[in-house]
Amino acid sequence: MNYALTTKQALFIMALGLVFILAWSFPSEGAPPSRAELEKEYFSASFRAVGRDAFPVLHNPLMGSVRDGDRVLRPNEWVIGIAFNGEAKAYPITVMGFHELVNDRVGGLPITVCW
Amino acid sequence: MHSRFVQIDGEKKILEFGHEGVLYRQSFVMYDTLTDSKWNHSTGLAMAGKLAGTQLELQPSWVVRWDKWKSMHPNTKVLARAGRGGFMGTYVADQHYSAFGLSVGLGPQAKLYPYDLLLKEEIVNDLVTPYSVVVVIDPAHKQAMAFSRTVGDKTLIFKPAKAKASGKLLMRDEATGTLWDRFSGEAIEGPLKGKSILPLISVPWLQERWRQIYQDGIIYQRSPSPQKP
Repeated sequence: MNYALTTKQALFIMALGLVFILAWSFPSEGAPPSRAELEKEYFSASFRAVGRDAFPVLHNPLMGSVRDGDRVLRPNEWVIGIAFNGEAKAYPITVMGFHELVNDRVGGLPITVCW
Repeated sequence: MHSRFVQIDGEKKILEFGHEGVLYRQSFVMYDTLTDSKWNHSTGLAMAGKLAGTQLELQPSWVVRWDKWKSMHPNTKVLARAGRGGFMGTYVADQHYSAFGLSVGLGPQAKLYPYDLLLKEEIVNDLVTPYSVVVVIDPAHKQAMAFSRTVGDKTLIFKPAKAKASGKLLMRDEATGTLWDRFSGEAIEGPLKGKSILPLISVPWLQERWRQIYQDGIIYQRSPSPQKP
């Protein structure tokens, strides 16, 4: 009887082995990163680009109606829309590009909108 | 978009955010005025300071054209009187869509759906742990959105539907044949009429920046859903 493996069988066993190795080495869901790890990552991958609050952040800005929106927005202009608890608000991308960050409330929920 | 509620030492607080002026992996950083912790604006995770490790709760939002949004919410308010411009203000997906993907979910499970691929498939039934998701795109206007496709104890599979109702883009679920509005997630005709699917956290991202934040994140490559014989 011939005990030698055919090429197909050999390849199959090698593939099976590879699957096991990959499965073992794949990181499983661990504990969330510690503050030290997060801060290390943050400080190693960030740099100051502009001064603090160089972008004029908005706080509870005055909102207009759909009619006001129609006066200044083109129909094809993009907005970030949020709807919560029966209230809907839209933040045009062109505005968000300028202010970058808005502290506001929608349907009573305090939210931050950023772009 | 993030909720500003956090728990600090067992107490519920509302944070106010400012702009730190720092870029972390090409994404701007916000600080909170209460503790001066530093937050990644795109993930909502505090990276440094007292609140490091705290995750802001995300709220589903839509990034769509103004005409689309006001048809979905006729009584919407809009931030109309404010400064405009800035680099990212001009960088919107319908002009530069190849550079963008729709990021769905959060943290290690977040997944990016490149607009180019979404445009090819129009509707993608997929899994973003722990959700069965459907990612949709309006090919004419390059706007995309993601929903959970679980309704009650059923997980639905959606296909594009040719029919249009008053300008709405529709899809149909295979199991019941119900017609759904692709962007509001409401069932408008058929056995499930009146139900809706849950919008998920999804944000259009520049693919290159997404890769820097979610270094182990999965980028969608093609539909894994089995094709019918």
